[in-house]
Amino acid sequence: MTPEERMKRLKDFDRWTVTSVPPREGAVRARRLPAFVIPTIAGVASVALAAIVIVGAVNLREYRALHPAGTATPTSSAPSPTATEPVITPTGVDAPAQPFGGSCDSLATLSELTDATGVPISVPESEADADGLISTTVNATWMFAKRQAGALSCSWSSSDQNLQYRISVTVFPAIALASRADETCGEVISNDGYSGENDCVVSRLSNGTQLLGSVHSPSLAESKDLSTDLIALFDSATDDAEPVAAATPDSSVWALGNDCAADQPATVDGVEWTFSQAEIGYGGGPDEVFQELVGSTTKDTLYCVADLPDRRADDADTPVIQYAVYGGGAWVFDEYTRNGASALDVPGFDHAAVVGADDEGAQGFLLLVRGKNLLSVSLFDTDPAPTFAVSEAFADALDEQ
Amino acid sequence: MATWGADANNTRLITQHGGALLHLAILLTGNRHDAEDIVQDAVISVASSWSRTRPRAVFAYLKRAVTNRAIDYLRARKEIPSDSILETAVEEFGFLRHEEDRQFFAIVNILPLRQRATMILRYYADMDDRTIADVLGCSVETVRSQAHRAIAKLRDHEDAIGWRS
Repeated sequence: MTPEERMKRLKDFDRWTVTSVPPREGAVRARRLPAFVIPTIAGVASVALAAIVIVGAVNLREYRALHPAGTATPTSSAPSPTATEPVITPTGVDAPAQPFGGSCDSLATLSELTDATGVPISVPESEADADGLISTTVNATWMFAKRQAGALSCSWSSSDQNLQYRISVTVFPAIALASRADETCGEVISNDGYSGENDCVVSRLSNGTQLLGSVHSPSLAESKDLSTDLIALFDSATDDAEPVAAATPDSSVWALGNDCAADQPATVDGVEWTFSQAEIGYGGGPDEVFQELVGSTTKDTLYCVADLPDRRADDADTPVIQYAVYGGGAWVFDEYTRNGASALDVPGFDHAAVVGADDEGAQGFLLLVRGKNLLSVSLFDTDPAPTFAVSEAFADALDEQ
Repeated sequence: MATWGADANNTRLITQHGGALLHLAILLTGNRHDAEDIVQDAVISVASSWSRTRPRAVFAYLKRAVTNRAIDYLRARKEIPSDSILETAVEEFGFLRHEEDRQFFAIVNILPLRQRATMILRYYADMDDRTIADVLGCSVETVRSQAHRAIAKLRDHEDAIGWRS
């Protein structure tokens, strides 16, 4: 019997000794998550769990000697450390400017929100670092795209979570978004299982800055009032602030063409893979808002995936390798490596490092920088050959441009 | 304040789906009592909008709500499963009737959170990979990769205890 069959077998009620949930007086009331701009579950997890894999400085030849293609080693997917000095150097590419200088306090202070709600408000601990891409998974294309567009994400909630006040907003430099009603309340059914009742979705364009967000409170009337207060705070803040120009690609940013197949394929051991564009997952939230944002903010990213050759024909899931190209995203490398990662020497690229793998099963990635751009390529288990084949193919393609 | 049992929708939802949701929450959390809280919390949330939700969608919403809460719970707890669970599996996992299931559950519990959740959501909760990707905030391909790794690990553990020869 396979593990999949053993898991499916647990659907049989007769295999359980407990089969019902006992009614409980005074049960826990629903603690709602905001229906908009919540960091994805993986995003939140990564805030807590993402770890930089610290590796020694090794060059590609050493790496391959340590991990010959097709040779499975028992544990880590990261290259083994060698005792050489750390050689990470900053790329010198700044992250795009954010509205309000990247300060949520400039949009609304805790005391202002406390006054507006009548209850103590604080920044949720799990979301305090939500805006730092460094804390999210490398393949979180959506998180990258938002930040690359200059987005500033802010979240607040009642200090006592049982009071159920939650405010989550994303502030963009004015980017092209279709017009939306300033306020939609009590009508949102999000796709993450939360009803959206008592939620208001807020959209506002003021002085060259776009606010999108959601407000939740114990009652719809309170949410409406809080939305009005939030918009007033936003208008006031934008009146006092210089608008931030949206980041625009320059000639040094790779021309992507949004065509995975055109940039690759890569070949390993004489086998050629064909890459295709992957869907971008953005977690929960009102679909119509996020789809528009994804479309507006991912134009400088390319996220591709391919199945590897048939290594384990009896598996339902063939291994996949994926890569993402982040136009103008070299700053991500600095964020990911500032906590101690060391460099690899990969021909064709200015900077390279392995990051990402953690004890929660996160996949490791090889980050590569050339000029202002970032390429991330997944590490497949312990075999680095596909990763380096993709990297080399990409470097060759760039050389031919 | 609404209390458990005060709302007819709550009662109806729990009658119809409570058992399956409880099992899902137990598989994800490994803890019966917290699983009960998670299910109750999810049902109260979804029940409030039940009249506006297509009946067929209710169970799917509930599964999503339970899953989201269970994963939040695990991350808040930051529990790191260890091999020692195997040794105490039979005594601790009494909510499963058969020893073989308890041993299998103990092995599943050793998997990293993302791999464990992928296995449970895919093969127990019957979620498709796109839905799992949304729940876990990753790509569909990452879900496939996690499932692949999880199955490989489970097979290794099953080999170790002699289930596969």
